[in-house]
Amino acid sequence: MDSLEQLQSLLHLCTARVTDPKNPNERGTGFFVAPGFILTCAHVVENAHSSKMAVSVQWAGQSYIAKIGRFRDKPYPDLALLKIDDLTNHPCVYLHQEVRVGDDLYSYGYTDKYPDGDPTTFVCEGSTNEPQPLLKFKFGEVRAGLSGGPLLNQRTGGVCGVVKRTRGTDTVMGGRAIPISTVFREFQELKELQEQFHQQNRQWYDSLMTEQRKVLGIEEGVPKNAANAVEIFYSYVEEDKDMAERLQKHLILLKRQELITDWHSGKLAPGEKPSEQIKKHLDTAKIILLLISQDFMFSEHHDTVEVKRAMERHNKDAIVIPVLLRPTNDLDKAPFGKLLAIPRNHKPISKWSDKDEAFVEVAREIREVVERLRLPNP
Amino acid sequence: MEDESGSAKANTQIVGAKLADGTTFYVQARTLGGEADVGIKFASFEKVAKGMERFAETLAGAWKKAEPSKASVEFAVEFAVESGELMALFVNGSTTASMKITLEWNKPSST
Repeated sequence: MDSLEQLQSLLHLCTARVTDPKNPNERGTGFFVAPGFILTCAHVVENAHSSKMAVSVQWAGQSYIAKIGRFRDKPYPDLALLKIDDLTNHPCVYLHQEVRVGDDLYSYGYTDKYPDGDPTTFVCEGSTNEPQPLLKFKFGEVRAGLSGGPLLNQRTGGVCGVVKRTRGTDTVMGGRAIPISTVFREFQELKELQEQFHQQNRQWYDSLMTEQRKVLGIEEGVPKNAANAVEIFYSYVEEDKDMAERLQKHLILLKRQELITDWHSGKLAPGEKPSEQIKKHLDTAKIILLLISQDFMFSEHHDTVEVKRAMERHNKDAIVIPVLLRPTNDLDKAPFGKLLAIPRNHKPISKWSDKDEAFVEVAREIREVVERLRLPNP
Repeated sequence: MEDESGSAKANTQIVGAKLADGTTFYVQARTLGGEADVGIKFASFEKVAKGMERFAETLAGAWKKAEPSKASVEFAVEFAVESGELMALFVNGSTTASMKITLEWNKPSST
């Protein structure tokens, strides 16, 4: 798959079908712009808006309820921002307003004839004049249902518009789109949400070509290794927070070299649901470190949730490593009792006369595992 | 309504329409072109019905003035869609019409 195809497939994953709650035959397209946020045209959701109802969104084979968070009526700017609660495991497009006459454009949406998704390409003809600019494009058919679809500029790799109108169904006269500059003007919070998302999730960046990164001005600060960085999950109890932090300090170099990313419950942002985030990262981590102490053994939560899930994944798609922080009883009877624990001499770190030496050894062991995981699959 | 090959004419399309109570149905309508928003919408049929009603009322008004003893008019209506709006298109009594409507007027007998 070349880079452009990769970007197009990613764009498909970012789009969703937006359906009227009363009449499922009335619908359009929308696309993810931030976690849980879908951008579409106001006219796609106007019936739901006037009857104060939520809309239905179909994405990745599932149906979700979306609230109409923001609504800017047609004919202009004709934009709406929908919010789906509890849905964050999706990619988001990269919004960028740049577009020139002659740029190759690509869109994807859920049309009347192809309700499961249909691509179209266009060529940019320019923009109508202020104060209500609309991008004009030709050489492709805008069918009913494409409203609210993303307009990808294939030169820049950014989404530059939201498809709104056709200039003739059954023709290749193309149509018009609301430019992203208008989107940012109407929904100013989107700029920050976009930035936050793309700093954490590199999927869109990774699908761009070098030239596109240059145009979008995001060449700097994109970690080269991010795509295959190994995610480490630290499982520990509050009593061992200090020791967990010390271990993280010993692994900081791996992190700075972008060989690893890490997660622990201390990273929970205000408002995030702990159990969901913990489950999510327990499922995505490649290495799960169980920081063992008697308090850890005593913790019901760690036993029933974190250890349980870790052991399910061990040797299948993750590696579980017990790290002996403090002395415990009956270690060998624990679910992870048979796993290879570090330090190798089974002397808990707290018992070492030089604790730094113990952490260095533990960090070295973890580094070896990271390097092994980063090798290409045979 | 159909050409020799039996398929719908190229310049017609099937349009979803709805009544005020939410009942939906499809009609064949001539495409008049024009730019239109591309959310999939059911066009309002009330406007079409209203258009025909006003048309008939206007004719009845004319008869009232002229007071012929008897009058009748037949008109054919085809549906058309322009810029996403469904409308009534009054046509010659041709085969393309979706419906034919006959209005008859009898002068009230003076007693």
